Amino acid sequence: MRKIISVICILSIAARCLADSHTIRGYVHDHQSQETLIGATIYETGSSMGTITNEYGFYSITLPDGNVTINTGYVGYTPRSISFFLSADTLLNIELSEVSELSEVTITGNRLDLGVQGAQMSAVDLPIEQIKAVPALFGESDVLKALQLLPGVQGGTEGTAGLFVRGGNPDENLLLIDGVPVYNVNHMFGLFSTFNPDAIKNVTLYKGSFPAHYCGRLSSIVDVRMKDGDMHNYHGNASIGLISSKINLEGPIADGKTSFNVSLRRTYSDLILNSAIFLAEKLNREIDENTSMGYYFYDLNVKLNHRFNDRDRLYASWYSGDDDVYFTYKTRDSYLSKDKAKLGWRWGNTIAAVRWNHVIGPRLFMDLSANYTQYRHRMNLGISSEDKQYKEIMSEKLTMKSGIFDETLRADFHYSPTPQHDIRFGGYATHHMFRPDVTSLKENYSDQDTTYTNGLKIGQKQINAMELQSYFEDNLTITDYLKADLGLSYSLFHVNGHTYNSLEPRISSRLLITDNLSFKAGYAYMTQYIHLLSNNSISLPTDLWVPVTDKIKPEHSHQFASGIFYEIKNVADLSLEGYYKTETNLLEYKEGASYLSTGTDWQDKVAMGRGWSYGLEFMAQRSFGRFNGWVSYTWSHTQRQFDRPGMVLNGGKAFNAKYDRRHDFSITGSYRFNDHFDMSATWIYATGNCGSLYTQYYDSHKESYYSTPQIGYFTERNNFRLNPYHRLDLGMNWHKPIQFFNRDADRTLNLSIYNAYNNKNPFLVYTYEDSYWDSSTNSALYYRRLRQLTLFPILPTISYTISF
Amino acid sequence: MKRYIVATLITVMTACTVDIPYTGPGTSPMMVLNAYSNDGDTVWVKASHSVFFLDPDTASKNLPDANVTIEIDGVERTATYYPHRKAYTDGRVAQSGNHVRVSASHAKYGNAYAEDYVPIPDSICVMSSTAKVNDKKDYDENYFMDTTDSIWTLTVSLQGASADAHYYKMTIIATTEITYLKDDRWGSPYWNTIYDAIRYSIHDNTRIALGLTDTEDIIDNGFETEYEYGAISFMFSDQMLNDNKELSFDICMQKGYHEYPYGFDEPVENDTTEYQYNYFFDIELTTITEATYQYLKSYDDFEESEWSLFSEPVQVVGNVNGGLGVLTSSATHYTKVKY
Repeated sequence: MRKIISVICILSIAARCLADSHTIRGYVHDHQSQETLIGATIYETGSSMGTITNEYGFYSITLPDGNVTINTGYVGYTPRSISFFLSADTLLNIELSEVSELSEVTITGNRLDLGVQGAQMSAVDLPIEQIKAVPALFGESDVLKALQLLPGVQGGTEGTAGLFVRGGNPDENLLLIDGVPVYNVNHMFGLFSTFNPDAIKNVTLYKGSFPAHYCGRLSSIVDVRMKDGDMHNYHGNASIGLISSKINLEGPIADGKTSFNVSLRRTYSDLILNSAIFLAEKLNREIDENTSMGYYFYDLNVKLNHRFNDRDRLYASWYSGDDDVYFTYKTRDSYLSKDKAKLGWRWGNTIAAVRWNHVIGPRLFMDLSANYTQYRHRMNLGISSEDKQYKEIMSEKLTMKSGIFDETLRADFHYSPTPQHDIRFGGYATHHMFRPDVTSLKENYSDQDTTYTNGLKIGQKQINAMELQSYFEDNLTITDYLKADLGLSYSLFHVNGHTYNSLEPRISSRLLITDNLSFKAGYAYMTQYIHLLSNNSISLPTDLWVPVTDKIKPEHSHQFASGIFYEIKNVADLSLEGYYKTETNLLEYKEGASYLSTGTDWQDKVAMGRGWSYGLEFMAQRSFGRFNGWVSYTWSHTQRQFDRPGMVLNGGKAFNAKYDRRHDFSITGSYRFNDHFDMSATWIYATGNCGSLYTQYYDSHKESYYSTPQIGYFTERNNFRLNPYHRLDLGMNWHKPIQFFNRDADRTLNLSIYNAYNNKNPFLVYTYEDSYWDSSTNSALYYRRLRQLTLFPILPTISYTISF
Repeated sequence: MKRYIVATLITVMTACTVDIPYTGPGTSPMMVLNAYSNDGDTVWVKASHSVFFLDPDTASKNLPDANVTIEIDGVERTATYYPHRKAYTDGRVAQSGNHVRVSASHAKYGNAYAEDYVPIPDSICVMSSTAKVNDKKDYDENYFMDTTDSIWTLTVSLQGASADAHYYKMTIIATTEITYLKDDRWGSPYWNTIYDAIRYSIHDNTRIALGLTDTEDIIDNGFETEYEYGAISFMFSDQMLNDNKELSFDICMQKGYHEYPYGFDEPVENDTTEYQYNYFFDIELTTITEATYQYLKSYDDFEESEWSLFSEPVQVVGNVNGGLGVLTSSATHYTKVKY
């Protein structure tokens, strides 16, 4: 009874407090395009209360009645201050104008929730303009490669877009486009990512202390949000480069109500190659064959945004991207025979999402979404020949296909009952359909007398799984100095009659020491139910996503992190973080196994083990002004151990992970000299990657008359470390106003130089054997060398862009 | 000037390799012992040394000047080097249950030794065998092989295996005895009896017959679904079996072929009036020690990885202390099964 009275008293006091206060809510937009701004700061001067806009630009803040002054800020925008008397719940949509980059610095840098003031730690927000400013391989700006320059994030093999976050494997990263997972983020075997920067509004990376509404991966969340599209004006840009061309268009469908954003990117090396082949065939009449071959990839991003009223918005987004390798060959039709060969190798993602934002009340925001994502891989190889004389027809067709398909229903709620609480809750249900590798071979033959058909099909049945998740989190302001993000996530995974579940607590807290100095600490427990069977070195389209099974258990991680955050007003944000992470049930291929070995169930090819990683990360970031960029340094150590019976690697002893690198340093900066010229540079230094190298060879037990097979021996797995890696990339942009179809436009000529001082960075090493003739002994002398291969020497590229 | 620019560009773009020194661990050669202590066989020891991977592999690695001793059940003798076998022996024969220890010392490569017990041979008993003619439907749901003529299911039981873990290498050799029933067609004895290989394979979904409720693919026969002539061997541990110690194999058979020495094979004619067919399986069950099993298993993985660009590297697991190599210990039991 006493408890009930206490609860009633507390509720009464809370209700009375709320009765004397009212809620201000609304969206923060870009003044010109009406694009919503994610993470914009809303701060009331008198009460020192603040909040930020969510992923849809919505905010809600409850304040005591009276005179209030609402200050709104966003990186790259002129802050705005609005004063009024608050006596009722108020709708306040705020528009901010972009600040001229040449003007004086007027605002501070980082997002409120991620910087000194916020409780969230181990997270970095990268403005898309900063990502575009990073000089890039082949001049193609790339989101994931920009993320590789952040502390705690390591790239894999040079030039590839793989992410290794705080010692995690590449499949431990949840990559989201508008909240929908992308399963294969690589084009061209990992040289480019599927994220087209022209279509992107914002990128946020979480490395630890994960908010509870994110789950399903152990190591990182990359939350990429696409542009909504300009509500008032049509504009866009088109660019042509050495590798690809891009076009981006956005504008209103109904002014102020509906907008669109469309981006298309395509490489065109295949068009050039086929033109050359076509010309060669035309010019040389002796060639009686038609050949076509090539490789290309494309990305298509489409987003529609409709504003019904101040309470309701509807978003529809679509992404489709494919890589395609093709080869066709046929002989010209003659009276004797006709031969054909065709290879089609295609892989890619399709993502679709429909989202309804509804403001239920002044303090409650709802986001309902239905989305679909798929990754598919298909290879067709067919040959046929026809002998007209003997009426003989033969054809063979090999097909390989695999993929993963998800359908998700999701509901998220954002509730701000008091200034001290910022609550999120919700959940989702996902139906996964895994299609592991299936190979089929068909053979047809017919002649005047016989006809037969043969077939062979190897593979596993498709696997259906159900994943459910619910979460609750509260961004709690305990005192002016102490804040905490407290969260709890519960997930459940059902596959083939087995059900796994996990309760995942999350916490991230901040202690404000001074206005510009804070200490943060956090903990996150994460669970992952799906795995990628992949070789760590290179991303291949044949990489398979597979679910947990009765044998293969879910992966779990515990991560502790703490750090100091300091803001030098109007200069930069500094952070120093330390972390310790343990992971269990990690998968690695057993010794000698690979995804290319067939016949064996994939579960028998992998070993389960554990890993741990710890490190220190320093970052200084400046996101505004003429000069911006960041400096990052990571000291880290990552190890693995596989010692379970039947799954022993390295004799059961711990070993360095492949991408265990002690030091990672990068400095990225761009400077805008004037309206016509800006320049950027990146310098990277990293300890070399590890690898296993047989250092001794010895006789095996097998004997033959001619020779004895040799066995390789290494002291331990990943015993060899490649040379350190360093390079300098430069980028220069010349801008000029031009007229483009009678519109004011701006043309940009970009010159990028990758690896400017042509450092011979290690890509791989191999043993090279050769001989020379020794005239003194009159015999050939053999020698062996360890040879290092460099993939990318100095690579200058040029591109031309028109923005209108 | 133009020439220099072109030459510089070509140099920059093509000179993408550079020789580098190796500065890591594991540069010193090590003593290697490969020794055999099989039930009923003479114990032999090969002593050699490993070679640093950047050294040209031209010199012989055998060590005829090592000091090698063999100890059987505590009785140690110095072994003698026999150049024709490039190995050492003291002439003694190992028996099941013997404790064998071999050791070698060399002035340059140090000391190394290995020890193990010669296992007691377990045997097998054929519990059942059935054959069905392939009706060319899916053999295993989504797998079918139209070249399979019949599928033979053979169930064998391990005899004598104790509660401890035992390790085995099983070799199955399929043969067809084909007898020509009629007179020679050219007037002289042509081919009275042909022992011919049958093309056959052990399906990769070979399962434990009894005990386990789930179907387990426990046997890596190394050949998967390929058809093979001659013998098929695979290794397994009875830890993977249930108490009944029973194994069953689905053996996909294809009609025998006469093997001719000049490269063309002729299908065995299905004429029972002219030929008589007798089918046999010779089954060798070799009981091996755990160390031998780990070595052979990892060696198979190593061999396989040598052919794959993307395989993870394999460390072959030996049982030589102070060096590399293996002392293998085994005992074999033979069974002939007729159908």
